[in-house]
Amino acid sequence: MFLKRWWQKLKREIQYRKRLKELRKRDPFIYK
Amino acid sequence: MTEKQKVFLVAGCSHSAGSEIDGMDDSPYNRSMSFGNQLGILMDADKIYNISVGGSANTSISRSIMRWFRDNYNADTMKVFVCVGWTENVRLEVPALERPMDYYRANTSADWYDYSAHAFYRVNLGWEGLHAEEKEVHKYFHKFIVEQTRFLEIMTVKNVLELQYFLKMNNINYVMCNTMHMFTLPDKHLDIYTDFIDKSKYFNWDNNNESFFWKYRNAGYTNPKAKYWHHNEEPHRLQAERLYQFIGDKSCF
Repeated sequence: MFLKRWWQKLKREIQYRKRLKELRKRDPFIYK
Repeated sequence: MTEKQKVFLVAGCSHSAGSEIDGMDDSPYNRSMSFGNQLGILMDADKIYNISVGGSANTSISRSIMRWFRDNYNADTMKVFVCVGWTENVRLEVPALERPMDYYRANTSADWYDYSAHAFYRVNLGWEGLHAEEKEVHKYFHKFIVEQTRFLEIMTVKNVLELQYFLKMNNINYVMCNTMHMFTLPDKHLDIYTDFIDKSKYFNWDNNNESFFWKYRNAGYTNPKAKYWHHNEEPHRLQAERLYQFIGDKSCF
């Protein structure tokens, strides 16, 4: 059970990072 | 009766401000060579106001136009045409509660500046924030942006509609275009709203490949002076000509 929850959390985090990278590429303009 | 002054108003993000044409974030030269200003010249405007602000979100673009009208417009002496360059839909404005922000210092060449922007954090995915509250807000909303892109696009289409209705209500002519990714189509939720868009005044509203930045970027145009990939004079000139053709004989002013 613990392993399953950990794996799902990790999967969500990987998907989030992937999507974040894609969207950052779409809007590469950084303003400070 | 004296003839009304033909005023051309340009609003948008850094692309509409002509950022980095000469390598600088902002300068009078950049603004004068931006696609909006070049379009204003093609349309024989008496006076051009470029109120675009680098880093803007679509909410601030729409709001800055409405506030410009509130503070500057005189229907008895002016005939105004508006050129709107919508920006990336993944940018957000979030109320800044702890302290006001200052975006003016990076936009000192704007012909008019909407200070209401200082009441908001501008959340974009490339910036983590400086101060404690700002960092917290950015972290929270980065997650929101990444996980709720469809929701953001619905908010964006509502920005377009609010501005179109505002301009129509005031009998103001205009043209809109996208400078970056705007709508991911087809989408059944967006479709609920897009029927209401006046497409006759919105250049390539549904084609992200035709958005100003990506069209010329993908066509191989580069600006060696730019640190952040903004285009130089040539793509701006071409965009102005495309918009001019799109407007065609639909009464300019």
